[in-house]
Amino acid sequence: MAQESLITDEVKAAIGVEVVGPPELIEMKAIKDYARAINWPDPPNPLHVDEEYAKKTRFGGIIAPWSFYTSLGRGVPRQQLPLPPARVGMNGGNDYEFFLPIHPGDVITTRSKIVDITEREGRAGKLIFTVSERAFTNQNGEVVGIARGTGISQY
Amino acid sequence: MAQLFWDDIEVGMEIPPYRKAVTLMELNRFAGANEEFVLIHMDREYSRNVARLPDVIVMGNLKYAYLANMMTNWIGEDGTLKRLSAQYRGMDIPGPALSTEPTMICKGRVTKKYVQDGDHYIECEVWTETKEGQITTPGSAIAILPVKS
Repeated sequence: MAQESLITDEVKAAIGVEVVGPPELIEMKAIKDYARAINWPDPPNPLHVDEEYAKKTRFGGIIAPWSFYTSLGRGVPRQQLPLPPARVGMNGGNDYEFFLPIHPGDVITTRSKIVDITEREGRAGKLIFTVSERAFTNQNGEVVGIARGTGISQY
Repeated sequence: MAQLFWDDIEVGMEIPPYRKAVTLMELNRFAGANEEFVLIHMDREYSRNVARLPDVIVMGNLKYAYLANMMTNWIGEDGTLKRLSAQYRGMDIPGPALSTEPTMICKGRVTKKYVQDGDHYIECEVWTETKEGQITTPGSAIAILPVKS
């Protein structure tokens, strides 16, 4: 017996709707904490934590690690899909493009949208795959990167 | 560290592996830094009994950061990472507290090198393996490298 799909017309209507988050100030400490966390217990690359060192590089100062982009826009509101609460949510994949480095003091605006939603019958129940896209723009209007991600919700 | 140059790249060349002993310490530090407070990465009881996972699991975003570390360590400061993708197909379980035995290892190899719009590109397949050799996170990377003058 086929169960009713969770992807209703209301859910489908949410695809492609862009949500613009409030601008976020990228603090030096956030970059340093992130760089330490992804290297722990090893020391981070000085490019991300040592201003004197970073000044002498082609970047002219500290930049965020490229993977720091996963932390952008996490606190900003995202679109709420009209789906029942999942039993567990998982990250299915990341695909990021990097255009420009992020420096401390940059102000980043995140524009997010859902680009695809699909449903599958898993071994233990329904699975919903949500593909979303986030574009990050700095205070100069430059797009510094684009993030595509797949979320997996288990029901 | 010596700078890597596009001239020295051959298709099939392996990226120096990047090993990590991942424990709850690494997960907790990353949870704070990435603002990623999710119970399946924090709470063993929840992971096992509610989420029905074997244990707490390593965040995909942390595995992503380790793959990025492998790439940037290798391509050096004059190399530029342009794209990195990773699919979280399998679970990585953190090792015991204070353990220094690697629980995961990032690997990769060059699949392509080419010039486009004056920039010198390489493409790589990258992945993470558990200490048992199971590939849990396949992915790919694109970078621009400097050329010898």
